[in-house]
Amino acid sequence: MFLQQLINGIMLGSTYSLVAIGYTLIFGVLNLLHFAHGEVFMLGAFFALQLSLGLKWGLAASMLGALIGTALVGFLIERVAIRPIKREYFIAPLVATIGVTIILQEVATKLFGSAPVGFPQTVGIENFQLGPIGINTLQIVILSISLTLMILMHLFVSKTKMGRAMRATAENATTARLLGVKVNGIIIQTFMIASALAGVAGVLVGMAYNTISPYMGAHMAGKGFAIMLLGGLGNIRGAMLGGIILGVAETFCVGYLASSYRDAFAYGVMVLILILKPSGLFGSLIHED
Amino acid sequence: MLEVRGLVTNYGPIRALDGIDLEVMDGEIVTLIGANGAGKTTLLKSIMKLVKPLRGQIRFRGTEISGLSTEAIVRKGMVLVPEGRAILRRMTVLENLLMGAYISNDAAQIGPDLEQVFARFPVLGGKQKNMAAALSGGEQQMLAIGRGLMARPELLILDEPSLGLAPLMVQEIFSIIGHLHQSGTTILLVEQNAKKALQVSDRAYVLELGSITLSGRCAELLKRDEVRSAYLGESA
Ligand SMILES: Nc1ncnc2c1ncn2[C@@H]1O[C@H](COP(=O)(O)OP(=O)(O)OP(=O)(O)O)[C@@H](O)[C@H]1O
Ligand SMILES: [Mg+2]
Repeated sequence: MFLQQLINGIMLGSTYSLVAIGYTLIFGVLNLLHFAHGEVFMLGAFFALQLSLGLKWGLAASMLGALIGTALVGFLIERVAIRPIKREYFIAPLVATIGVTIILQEVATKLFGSAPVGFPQTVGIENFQLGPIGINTLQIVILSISLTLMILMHLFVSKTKMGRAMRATAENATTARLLGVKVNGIIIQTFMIASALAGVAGVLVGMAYNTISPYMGAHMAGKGFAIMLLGGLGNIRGAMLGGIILGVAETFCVGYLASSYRDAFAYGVMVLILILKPSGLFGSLIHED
Repeated sequence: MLEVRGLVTNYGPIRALDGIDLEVMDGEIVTLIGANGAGKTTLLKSIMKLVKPLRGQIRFRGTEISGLSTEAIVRKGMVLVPEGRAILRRMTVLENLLMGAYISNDAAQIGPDLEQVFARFPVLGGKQKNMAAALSGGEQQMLAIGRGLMARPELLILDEPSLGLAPLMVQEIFSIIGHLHQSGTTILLVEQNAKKALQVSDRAYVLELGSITLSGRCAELLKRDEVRSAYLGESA
């Protein structure tokens, strides 16, 4: 029972992590809370739905399509709503992203309707029993996709030249400029990567629950934001582990307490951790300049 | 190599630079001296476009660069090592140095350049994997200079490189400046340590309250009474 809950929690939490990484990446380079990030997550799910139902694409192709689609959405958001806004008025970019949230939600309800819609069964489900733990193909697929993306993300950020430039920009944009880093390019790249991760998370959540709705983004946005705080602002590893902690807290609540308290319990744990450790579990890495 | 004409920079309503003319020739070391708050850092920041000048021309190797962004200027071969150890504290020593070579297109160059930096600053070689934040102040200053060298600048601009260093290290920094000069790097140097700076440089400018009040060959400036009393701490 305990191990089973743990596995379920990690699976759920790994999708949260993907969303939270994006939040924290964008916060890192821009000091900006990207309100519309949850809507990008939602669009990822709908892109995949359209591709698999409308165009009869398979799972892998639909997911890749959603990834590319949401990366482009991220590109557009940065170009249209972030770059033209003067950052000196620190609240203005935040308001711009709230505007984008509303627009994306309304567009989605116009296009797809406001009721939840079924997400196609994409994987032939087969159950495996490993001692006391039951796990099915769907769970394995979700878990391996999100863990793979996290590992790739970690390698990208810690080992590549582009990843270093991204970290340099997040630490101090002026210093990065003095090293020849094209900071605007890094910002747009960050938006695209963050959005693509959220888009894939949207598809994974659609697969896990079999339904998606234009409002699923708002729910996830709250969690992603809370996880960013939990893991430490701008801290990528913190976002990865924070997501998994929240997922596990939720499933344990459902398993041992009551499912209706799931969010209350999870956020309660988070508030408690933040009271004890205000800069998050793994320390915040705030923009200096 | 660098030619500044009529440069004016304001901070809000406050005039920080009031029509600066300055020139750095190929292969020279030029020093800028001046009291605290004279505008030395502001001048370097204006050249690098970290602050936006109100007017004036800046030419680098014959082309006007006042319309370019900081990163574009860096890519043209002009590198500023800013005052106050502007290192990337959350990265390791090695990562900081690799970021110095960010603009380099020649990956094969990076290894030998790293070796050279470690030869100049052996402390850094021993601490490659350490976080930069964990270095002492002097070591951070060495890292900042080493990182500047990794870019292989044609014009290296140093803002108070010896600030806060122990006398032996100050000596080391000046000897490195001498070596760089011999190997053909052109240098624009801002220093509190006016005596050493004037000894190592070819020419100097004296900046007072945003204007150049004196300039010339260092050998001559070292003899001038107003320089001796104001900047070398000697009684006239
Ligand atoms: N960001 C800023 N906003 C407003 N005023 C500034 C700013 N930076 C510098 N100043 C002012 O401009 C003047 C020149 O400052 P600057 O830093 O260029 O002096 P400096 O010659 O480099 O001094 P130091 O030797 O102490 O480094 C000072 O009066 C300073 O107070
Ligand atoms: Mg200064």
